[in-house]
Amino acid sequence: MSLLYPAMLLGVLGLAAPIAIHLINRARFPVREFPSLRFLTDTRQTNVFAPRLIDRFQLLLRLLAMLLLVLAMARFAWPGSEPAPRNLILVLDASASMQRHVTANGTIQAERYFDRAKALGAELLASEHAASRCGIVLAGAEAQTILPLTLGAAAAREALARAEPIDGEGCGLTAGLSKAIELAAGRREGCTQIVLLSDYRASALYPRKQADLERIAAAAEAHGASLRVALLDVAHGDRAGNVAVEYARLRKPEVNVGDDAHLLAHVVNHGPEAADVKVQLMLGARKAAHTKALNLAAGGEAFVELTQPINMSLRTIAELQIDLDAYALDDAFRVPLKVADLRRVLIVMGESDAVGPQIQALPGQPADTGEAAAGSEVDGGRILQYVLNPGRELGLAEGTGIHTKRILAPELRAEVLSKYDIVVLYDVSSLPAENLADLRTYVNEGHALLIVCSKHCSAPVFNRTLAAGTPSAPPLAPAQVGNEIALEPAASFRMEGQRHALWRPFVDGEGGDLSMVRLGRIREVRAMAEGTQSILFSTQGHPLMLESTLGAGRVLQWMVGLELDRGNLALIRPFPAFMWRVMDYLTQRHEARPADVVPAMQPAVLDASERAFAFLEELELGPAVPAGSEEPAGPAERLPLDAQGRVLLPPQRQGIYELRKPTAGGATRGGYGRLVTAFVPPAESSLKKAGPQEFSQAAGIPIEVLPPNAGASLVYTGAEAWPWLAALALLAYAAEAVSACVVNIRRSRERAGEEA
Amino acid sequence: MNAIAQARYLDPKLLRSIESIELKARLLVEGMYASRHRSPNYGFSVEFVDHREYVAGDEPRTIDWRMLGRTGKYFVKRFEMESNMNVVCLLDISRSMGYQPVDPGRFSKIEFGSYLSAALTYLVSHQQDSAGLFTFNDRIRTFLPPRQGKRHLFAILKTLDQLNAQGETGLSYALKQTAQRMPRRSILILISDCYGEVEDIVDGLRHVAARNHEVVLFHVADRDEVEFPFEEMNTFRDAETGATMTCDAMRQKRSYLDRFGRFRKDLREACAAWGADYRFFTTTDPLEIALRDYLNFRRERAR
Repeated sequence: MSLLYPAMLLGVLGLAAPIAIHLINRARFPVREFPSLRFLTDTRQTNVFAPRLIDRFQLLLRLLAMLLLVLAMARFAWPGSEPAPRNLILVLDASASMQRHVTANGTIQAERYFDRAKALGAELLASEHAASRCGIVLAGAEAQTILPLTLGAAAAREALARAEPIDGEGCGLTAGLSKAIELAAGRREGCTQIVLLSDYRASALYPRKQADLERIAAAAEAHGASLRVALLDVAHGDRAGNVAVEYARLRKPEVNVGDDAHLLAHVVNHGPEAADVKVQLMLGARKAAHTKALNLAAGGEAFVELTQPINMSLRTIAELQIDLDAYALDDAFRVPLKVADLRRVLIVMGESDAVGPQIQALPGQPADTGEAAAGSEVDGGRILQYVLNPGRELGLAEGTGIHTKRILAPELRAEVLSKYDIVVLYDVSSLPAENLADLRTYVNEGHALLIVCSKHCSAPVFNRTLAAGTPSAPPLAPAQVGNEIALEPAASFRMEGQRHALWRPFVDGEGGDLSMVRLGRIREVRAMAEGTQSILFSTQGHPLMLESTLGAGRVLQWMVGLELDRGNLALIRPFPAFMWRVMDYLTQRHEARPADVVPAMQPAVLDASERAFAFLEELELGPAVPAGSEEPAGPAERLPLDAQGRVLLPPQRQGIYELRKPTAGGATRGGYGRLVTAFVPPAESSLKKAGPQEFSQAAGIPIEVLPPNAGASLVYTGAEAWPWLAALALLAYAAEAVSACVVNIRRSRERAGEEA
Repeated sequence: MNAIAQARYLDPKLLRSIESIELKARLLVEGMYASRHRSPNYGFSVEFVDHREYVAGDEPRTIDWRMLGRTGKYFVKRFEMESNMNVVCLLDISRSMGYQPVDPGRFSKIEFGSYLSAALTYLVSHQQDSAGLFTFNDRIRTFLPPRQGKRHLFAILKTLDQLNAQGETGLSYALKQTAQRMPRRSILILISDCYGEVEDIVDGLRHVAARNHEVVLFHVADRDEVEFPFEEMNTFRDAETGATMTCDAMRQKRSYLDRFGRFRKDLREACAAWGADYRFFTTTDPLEIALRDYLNFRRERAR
């Protein structure tokens, strides 16, 4: 015996109305004052409300009719086995762990636990009464109402069929319960059931928000006994294990060609038994040779390092795989592998250098007789070329990945500047106007220019050409140079208090000690262009290096030459590191970006300030192009790029994405792009179940945790009696009306007789 | 009383519209026959009646000296004394007298009684009698002993003008009290609706008769009491006690009228038994008729 709308029972108070009317009207006759009552006798009988038998009968009929009406409106249901109407809200746990496959007898089935949850939900809805209201909440990245409370179960079944899990952690069952309670707010039916379909892992209960807890507590108080919350544990009794690659990272996020890529992985066995795990590193579609076998005890974990030599410049994904198990999402971890692109440096020599002596010999190498014959003085440009990629110069390997080309200033006209990342003007005093214009455009577009003013630089000519600007064309060189200054005693670099990013490795000592530099001759700075700053001073206060920006590019001007007679800069041990740092700085590689690995279904911020994305207001994020295909796997979305070159990534499912320049409709895709991978949070890999009362404690209200086959116990049963009650109420009213007519007719006759 | 006859009398509305009760009384009395009535007592007056022999104690100035000269015996003259009768109106002011009739154009009983008392007082005063006024309910409320003079008349009229119905009726008590307070033989004009036990009223009349007073009972009733015109179910509230009684008026009308008629009959018989004069009026009866009844009564008594 149940009531759909017990609040309607308040209508029983309405029964007091006929009784009150009856009682009031019994005594409520026109009160008339009369001189004396001595000649009157009391008469206790009269109109329809007087307590005659017929009046009592009428009263009873009225009361009966009203009582039946109230019960009908409260949707009274007799005890029965048939489902009775109720509010049923299904909360589907859509976190990534629900994608785990069901394991039966050690065999992984095709069915996922999310499928099982949907099947259980469909089973509950199948037996639902037509007058029930059903709603569905998907506890995915956020609690989302996919169907508000709707009469009937058909719409709920359709909505349930469309539901899909996410790859992320999910919002927690508490948030889902809170959302469901929000749906049931204001409903006063006799039974409101919230059924959570979840694998009931401990991590699924969290995070909790205070607002959700307060809403749940308030609803529990408002609904009282009419609210029933149950959780069907769809993974009840599952003993299957799960080995997960919870996280992996490259030891160096950017690998040079010729170096090894080192991938560090954290592998955890969440299963109840020990497991043999084979960890394999894949680069793109190619299987790498490096594989490691592990034996992990129950609950054990291991940190594995896999190495793969990189012998060519490529843009790919380093994927760490283990054997597939029931939960496939954590069986691989992908990290975008950045292999440093070759950098090309064009060294333009002043004409005076062309006839200058070349490098004589390197330690341990046979002397370059051709160059050595030219003279004993070492050419600064040659030193620079050598130090930028010693391995290549010696024919050993790709080395630093910096390719250099040394030309004379007149040859500059024949060069395509956009091929080079950096142009070095070494002791160049003047250039033709068209070369100057090309260089200005080159720098404006985001490239770098290094100007070295050494001993052969003619100050008047330099200042008239390279250091001269017009109102419409700023000077290319940051500063005008003066005469040479002989430093006696020799000066060094002033590194104290240096905050410039270029010097960071040398200030903290990681890159080497530059304090042993001794400079005997330097160039004087005569004047600096607007916006120029000196980034290095000598210990005697002379500006040694100047920096300015031009458009999106950068110009460095040195007052220090590399020749051996001008100081020992080229002779000290940290010199190569110092020069490589300068190259990194000029190509914006001086600060290593973390790998583009983001957790799935969580927003993330990526630094996209590289030069390739300069001048763009938005970028495009889409699935990466699969191997062997030219078209992306799915649609892309446009993301705005902020002023600091950052882009906010919306939550993504697990996968490989590419951040690239937006392409217009129909345009051919191509050009620069960055790979981004999204991984499933490791919390989803844990199989630790929540305790029987843990959810109740977390949510603050009693929650029944039931096995999946206990869905039948949740069915709200009863046989609806309201049609019968309504009919009986009508009958009672009809009977009352007939009896009232009979009584009135009889009384009229009596009165007529008395008057006669 | 037909309409033509009714037209000769003062309209109650007209009478009610007159503010001064004195004027009302005068209007009522005006045109009435103001007879002098013979007194059974002898006294000092101008109208000679006879002689009687002188006895010791008679005043010497009453000796008829001519008779002494003619007969040689002392005779004293006897003259018819003017009555100087005490007439006291006993007006019941119990709450039942204040009953407001269904028809607002009618007098209430207390209005009727006060106008009647005023007219009688006025009439009595102009007959050179002493007029007094007792108002009572369950006790004597106002006691204005019979006197002559205009000031006394105005005092009575003022009292009558300010009457309020209150309390319960105590006829027997009022009659006994009045009888005790009136040393001289008086005419007691009792104006009441007589709600009380007949036995109590008889007891009062007995006391009055024992004191040699004369009683005229004006039994005043509203037309509602006489005709009981109600038809529906009503809750009646006793004007005096506040008690309520629910009854079907139509069903009870007959029995009510029977009981009321029997009550009047009992009253009349009781009055007759104790020498009182019983007159029954409804508030719709002209007041002049009541005055004329009084004068007729006095005339009959004078014979």
